[in-house]
Amino acid sequence: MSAIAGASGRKSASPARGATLLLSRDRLIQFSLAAIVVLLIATALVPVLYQSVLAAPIYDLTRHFTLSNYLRFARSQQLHQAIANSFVLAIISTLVGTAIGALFAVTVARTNMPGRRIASGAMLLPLYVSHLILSVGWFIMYGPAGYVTELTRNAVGFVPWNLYSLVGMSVLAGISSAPLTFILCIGSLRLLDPSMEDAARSVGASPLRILWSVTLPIIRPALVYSVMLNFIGGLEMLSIPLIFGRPARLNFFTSLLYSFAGAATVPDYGLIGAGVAFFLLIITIFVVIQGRLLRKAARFTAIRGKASRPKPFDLGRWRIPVAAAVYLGLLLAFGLPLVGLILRAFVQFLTPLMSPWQLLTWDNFTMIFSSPTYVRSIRNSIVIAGFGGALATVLIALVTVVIHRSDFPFRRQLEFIALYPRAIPGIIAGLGVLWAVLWIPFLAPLHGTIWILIIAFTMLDLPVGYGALSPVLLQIDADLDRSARSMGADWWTTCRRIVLPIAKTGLFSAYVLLFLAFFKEYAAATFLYAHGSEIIGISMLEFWGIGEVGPAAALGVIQFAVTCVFILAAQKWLGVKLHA
Amino acid sequence: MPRLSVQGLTKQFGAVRALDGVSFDVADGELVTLLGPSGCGKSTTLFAIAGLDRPTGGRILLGDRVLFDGEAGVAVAPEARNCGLVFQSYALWPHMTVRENVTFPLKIRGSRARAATVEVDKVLELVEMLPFAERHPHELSGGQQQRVALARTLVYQPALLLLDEPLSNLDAKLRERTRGWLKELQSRLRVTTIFVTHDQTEALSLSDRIIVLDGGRIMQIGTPQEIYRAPATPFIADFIGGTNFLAGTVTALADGQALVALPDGQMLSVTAATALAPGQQVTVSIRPQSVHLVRGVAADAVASAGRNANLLHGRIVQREFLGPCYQYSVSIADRLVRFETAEDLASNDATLAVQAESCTVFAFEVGP
Repeated sequence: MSAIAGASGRKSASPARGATLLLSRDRLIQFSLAAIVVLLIATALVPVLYQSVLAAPIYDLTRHFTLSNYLRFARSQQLHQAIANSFVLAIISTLVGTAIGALFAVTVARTNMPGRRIASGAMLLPLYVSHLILSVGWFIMYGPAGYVTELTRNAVGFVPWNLYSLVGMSVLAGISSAPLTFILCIGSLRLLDPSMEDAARSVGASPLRILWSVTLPIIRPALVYSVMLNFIGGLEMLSIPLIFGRPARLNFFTSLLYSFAGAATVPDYGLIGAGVAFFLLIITIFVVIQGRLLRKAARFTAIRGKASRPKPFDLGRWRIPVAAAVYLGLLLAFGLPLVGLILRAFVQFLTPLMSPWQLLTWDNFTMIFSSPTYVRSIRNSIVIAGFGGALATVLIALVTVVIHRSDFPFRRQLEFIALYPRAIPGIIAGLGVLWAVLWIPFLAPLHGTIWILIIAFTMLDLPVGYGALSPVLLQIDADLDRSARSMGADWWTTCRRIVLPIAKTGLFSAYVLLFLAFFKEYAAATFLYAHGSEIIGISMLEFWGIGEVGPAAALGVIQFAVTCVFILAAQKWLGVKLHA
Repeated sequence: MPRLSVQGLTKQFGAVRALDGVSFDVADGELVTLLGPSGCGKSTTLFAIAGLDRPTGGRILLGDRVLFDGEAGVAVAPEARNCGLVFQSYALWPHMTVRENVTFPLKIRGSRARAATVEVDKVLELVEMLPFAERHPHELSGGQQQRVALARTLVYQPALLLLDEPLSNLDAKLRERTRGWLKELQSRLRVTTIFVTHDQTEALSLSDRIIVLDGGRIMQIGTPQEIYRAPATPFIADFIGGTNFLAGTVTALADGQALVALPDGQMLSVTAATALAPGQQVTVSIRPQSVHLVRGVAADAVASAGRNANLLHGRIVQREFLGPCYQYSVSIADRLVRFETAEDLASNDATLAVQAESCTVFAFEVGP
């Protein structure tokens, strides 16, 4: 314990507390929270790893140890092809997404382009919307029979893009991940100390030169981090592989897993286990490499301090052309697909050959609201996000307090574990939790309830909540809890009465983020839902699977509307600003 | 019987020793100051006593109770020590009003709401903050926040009051006023107090005793008068009060007086408290206040300055106007001697008179 306290130095947030009792109330609470986090992640991982060395399904009592699964995995052409496709998609989408996102961030944060605030808001909105909605929107507009596709074909005679190709899908995946890069880069650009750029300017560097040699290096940690997140995001992406890959007969690892979920026959549990274990290993290696890279990048973190408004670069006569390019990009990437989605929800079918006004209908919505299953899926989504998100906020807030504001001996390890779910694709988490429920008898009652979805989503979004709450807690002066401790409050009382109340606004923000994350999650639910615990995304995929695009779009519109209403309400009543 | 006893406290940060065998006692009702430049270990010592910083070794006892024992592995949690620590930043909780801030320690101790209100009113009255009880910290000035921080600590009658540079965030005038008020309050309440500061004026005016720290070690312990009049090292002489140093060699010793030859041949007669031997290299400390300007012929000057006065000749190299007086720097034997006088001197040469008993001799040399 003293080694940890010593390493963190005198300015450490945690008061060094003596070990008078082996297990004080404080320690008991800290260990319990750590145990919950470890169990959450173990629930998703252990069954998969265990299954990968079993000769029978995990629930089968005749199961016994074998390595043959890995041998069969080594020979499975189908899995190899799917994993290879996943990697190609991840690599291309990472390049595309990181480049677009970073360029956007620099343009919006560092130039005097007109209408930057609106562009920034438009770029951030996709972060809070399910990828499923975006994919459906893209399909409706740019798919092989899409509205824009048809228009183009009629106008010029051919279509220069093909979204039923690996490259086409990868570029789409890149566009869908650009907002994440954007938000990470803009965060560090906003913190940029303007005096650093002024200093470069005063020694005679040109604005472009400054951009290249001062500004870009400063966002390097954000870029490294977003490369990792985009890469994992590409690997775990389910929406584009399902919407575009299946009709194109392109298999990806996630879409292959998805097909097991609905398979009529008993799937090859062992083979799936081995494949998933291999996939997780690769992602874990990337996370570790990224951690190493960022540690070396610590020298770029001299950008802390008061957020100030840096002087933007003057684009001169390029102001309008740059703005036009930015807005056109936003319109094509996110605006039109959203319009298409909304339009599609209100018509019988969508074609450039007929005016949509002649095809207006409420049928798609009627179909949803007349079916108890679909109404329930909407209600379930809201309950899971509203109630589950609140539970997750409380848990993650306490875990974050343990990590940043206690002398818990294993807080470093706890932080690593809490951030690990970045490396777990949603669909794999769902599979793991399902197998845990099949395997461990006392978990069986959870099967098919929304509780199991809340558990899986909480585990998956631990890093989201931790990322939102860490800076808030680090901003609170350590003297505030140290003074409470010296006045006779133990750690737990200090948490409840001092630290968490001061962090109230940050807690609200974290809740809003977790609500939105829970509300849009669907991949983890594919293995976990049952009759009664459907969610919006699942219903959408069901409609999609039987070719009912209209109701799927209508569900997407409902999901989008709830998201917008919630964001507006959060801004108004909770005073939460979402990275504006 | 000492109230607080700190024995051989050490703190290791990697290869650095932040505290190196710090030992001292504080008596009941005493106000002791830990004084030193930044990084000397004074705050580390204070936080070790409060239990917020864990030392590497040593012992801390409060009365008969062991708060910390490095060897036995005892470290009482901060909340169980009943110390009252006032932070440099005041650390008032921003989400609570003044009253809620001050009530918090009483609530933790399980006192009844009604009894707590009486106590809180009493202590807020004491620090003259009762009219501000319903305000939030951000609505108060620095001085008011400081009083609330003190009230919040006094309200539960801690066994020990620990003050970490509580005046350093106040402006100069307010600091002086608060200093007087704090002194008066402490002597009224007779609460055992440890006060950490880097400001020698605060230390001299407030303390019963001063502990001077440097580089994690105690350099001297004594009353303000002792520390000022008989500093143990040139560092302390310079740190507390400020001083001038002259280097020289002892040439003769007689009835408690030593004759020191400066490198330029001038002689200086000083009162020798430490054992000295002829031929020894020494440093003589002369406070600026003990240096007087001599006018007129040397003989008259000796007569007017008294039998024990030394006369030193030098060249004025710098002159600064301070308002009520001028500060002159006079070069004597390649060292600068500063002193203040109201006179506006025209000439470049000056003759200075220094009493032998106002010189302090150290048996080693310090740099210029």
